[in-house]
Amino acid sequence: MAKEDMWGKLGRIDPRILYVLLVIILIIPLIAPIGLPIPITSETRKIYDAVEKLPPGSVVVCAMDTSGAAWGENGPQAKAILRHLFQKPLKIVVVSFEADGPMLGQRALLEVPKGEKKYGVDYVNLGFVAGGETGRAAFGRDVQKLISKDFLGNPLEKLPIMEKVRNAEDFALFFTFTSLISAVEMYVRQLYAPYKTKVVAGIIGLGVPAVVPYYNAGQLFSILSGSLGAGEYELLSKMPGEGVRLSDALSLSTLLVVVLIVVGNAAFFGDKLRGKEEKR
Amino acid sequence: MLTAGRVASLGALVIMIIVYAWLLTRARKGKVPRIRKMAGFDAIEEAVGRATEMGKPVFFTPGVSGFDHADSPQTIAGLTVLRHLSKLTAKYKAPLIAAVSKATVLPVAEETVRQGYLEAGAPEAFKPSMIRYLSDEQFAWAGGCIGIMHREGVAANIMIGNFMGESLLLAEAGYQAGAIQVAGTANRSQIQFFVTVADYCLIGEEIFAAGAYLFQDPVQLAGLGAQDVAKWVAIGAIVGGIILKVLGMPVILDLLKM
Amino acid sequence: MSVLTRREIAVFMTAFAGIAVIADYFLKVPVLNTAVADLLRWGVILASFLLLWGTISMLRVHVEVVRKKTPNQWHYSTWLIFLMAVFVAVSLVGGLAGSQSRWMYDNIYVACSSTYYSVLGFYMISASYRAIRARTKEATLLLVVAVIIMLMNAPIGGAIWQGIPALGKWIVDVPNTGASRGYIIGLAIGAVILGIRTLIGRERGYLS
Repeated sequence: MAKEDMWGKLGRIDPRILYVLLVIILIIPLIAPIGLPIPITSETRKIYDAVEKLPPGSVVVCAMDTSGAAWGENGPQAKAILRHLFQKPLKIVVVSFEADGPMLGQRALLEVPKGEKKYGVDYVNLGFVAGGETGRAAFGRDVQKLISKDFLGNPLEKLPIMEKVRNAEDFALFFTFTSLISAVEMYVRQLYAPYKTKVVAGIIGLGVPAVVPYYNAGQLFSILSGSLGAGEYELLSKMPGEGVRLSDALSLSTLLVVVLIVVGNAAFFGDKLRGKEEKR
Repeated sequence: MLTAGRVASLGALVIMIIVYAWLLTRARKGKVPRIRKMAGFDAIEEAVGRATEMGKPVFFTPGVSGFDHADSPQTIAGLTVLRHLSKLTAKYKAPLIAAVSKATVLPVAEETVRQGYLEAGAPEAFKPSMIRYLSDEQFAWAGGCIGIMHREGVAANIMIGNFMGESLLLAEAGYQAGAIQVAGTANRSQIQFFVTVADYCLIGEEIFAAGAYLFQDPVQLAGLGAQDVAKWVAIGAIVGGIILKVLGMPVILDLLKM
Repeated sequence: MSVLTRREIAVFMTAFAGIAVIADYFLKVPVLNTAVADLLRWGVILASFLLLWGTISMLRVHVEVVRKKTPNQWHYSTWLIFLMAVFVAVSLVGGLAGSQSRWMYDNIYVACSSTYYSVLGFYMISASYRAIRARTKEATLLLVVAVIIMLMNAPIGGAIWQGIPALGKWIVDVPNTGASRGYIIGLAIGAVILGIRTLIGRERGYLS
């Protein structure tokens, strides 16, 4: 009888107990970081090396196609990349094709150190462009005919940085920080296919397997995978931040899920075995 | 005049148009392609029957997108299923709750359900309150759906359309409410949640076959036929291309690069 | 019926715009290319108005709910209308980039969005525990692959066994990519057929 109860109980743990376990697991590394080593993937290294090799004055576009919900993963990615970009003599253009993007882009710009860089000369936030894929296509064709003012209301002709930003052929690198696979596919269609723009997909971890085919086909320059990718990039650029801090929580929560899957299956097979014994 | 690198795509498009036109002509004469059984669509009637027996509502949602998004075909597929579903709920007299996420989808969903009830011969049973516009914001809408599922104790949860991060939230909420679940999406990153949690799942393009399967619409059946022809051509090109490339004759590859 | 609201006009406009953009993709004709570039910009302007129209539609629905005092709903609709008015007023006065707008956005909207998205983590736990069982051969394969990929995506995977990252990468690069490509090609073909149906006016699901 005790054996039956054990398998039964193991297989039917109240979900609320699991939720409490998860909360505890997530709090522990925030209080006492474990510091597990973060291996650097070849994809992240490729992005870092590309940024390091960009000639001075190159235009890099960061498209904030993210939302408040996904900012937990896209935020560390965007900030890790922006921190590195601001260390180099590059021209940085922030734009958004999703409604939440401009505010989050502005937030990222405010939170990263910019050194001596001046707004309007070295970097700019162009705000939101509506229309989804139509907007992205129009942006790739002619930025200046599409957008007349930046996010702060400055006319583009008054911003020296815009002299170098005309269309997708001027973009040395194009980053998108997004949770939407469809957004990455739109850039493959509207920027890579016609202009062969180097597009880097900063996508949430869940979306990576879906965009890997485009990377393997050479249509995406590289992929930055979720908050872990942000952590890798922070280590490479020697500026650890949120990505590194979140990696321990990611590890422990993953371990919890794996353990629960094992426990659930143990209970499932235990039940099956008990059923077979009873039949005998 | 032709843009370099796109001639092969243009050729493929022209061939597909010709094949589709030919199949459409055949379909209008009654020669339609046969479709295999799709358990997901068949289960919808079972789900409605269950809801009728239990005296509880059927919950439906066509996903988080509207008509101005690249994923709008999924919303259209969802609304096609809604028309079929509303005919069933009218026939079996099961309460229906349809939750939409976009203001632009609301009038279309209302008209679709009204039409379904009319076709089932029960126009007086239709109520505009069956369709609820919850919120444009993704997770606010998901929260609203979860609230409805729990409060109304739905017996069937049918989700066909474009779903993003909220897919597991909705599927798990439906499970916790004790509903039979039929789910389908073409969003690659969310299918696995539906496969894991839902009772019946329509994977990817199966949702686009809704019109053809449920209504035997000859135009859509011809479209499925044309898709099949195109897929066989693609398979032939891939397999043939690999074999020829290995033999040192990258003919197909060069053709596709034209 | 007014000539302007006839469905045929909407279908014609859809077909005209669609064919122009498709032709622009394949043909290098300066007049066409310039015209389509303008068409794309008009599309962006229309989309911006659509956002405004969506907001107005949403307001209409909620004002109606408040007016009718629909039970269990009208309180939430009132709160929504109030918050919307506050956001709009603050943004108009201080600008979207102003500190007040940013404060409201970061501390109300982003906080609520992130919180709700985080609920997914809890549901993931309960779904994984309950549903990922080795009931069949396919379910067992799903289980094994899911565990490997999850561990690959966290630093702890490499710490448990050095082979996990490489195995996970192989799974993503080979079987996943192969299956995804077939899926992408199938979806693309379906999208082309749907597009053809839309251009010839046989797909009217987008019209209300």
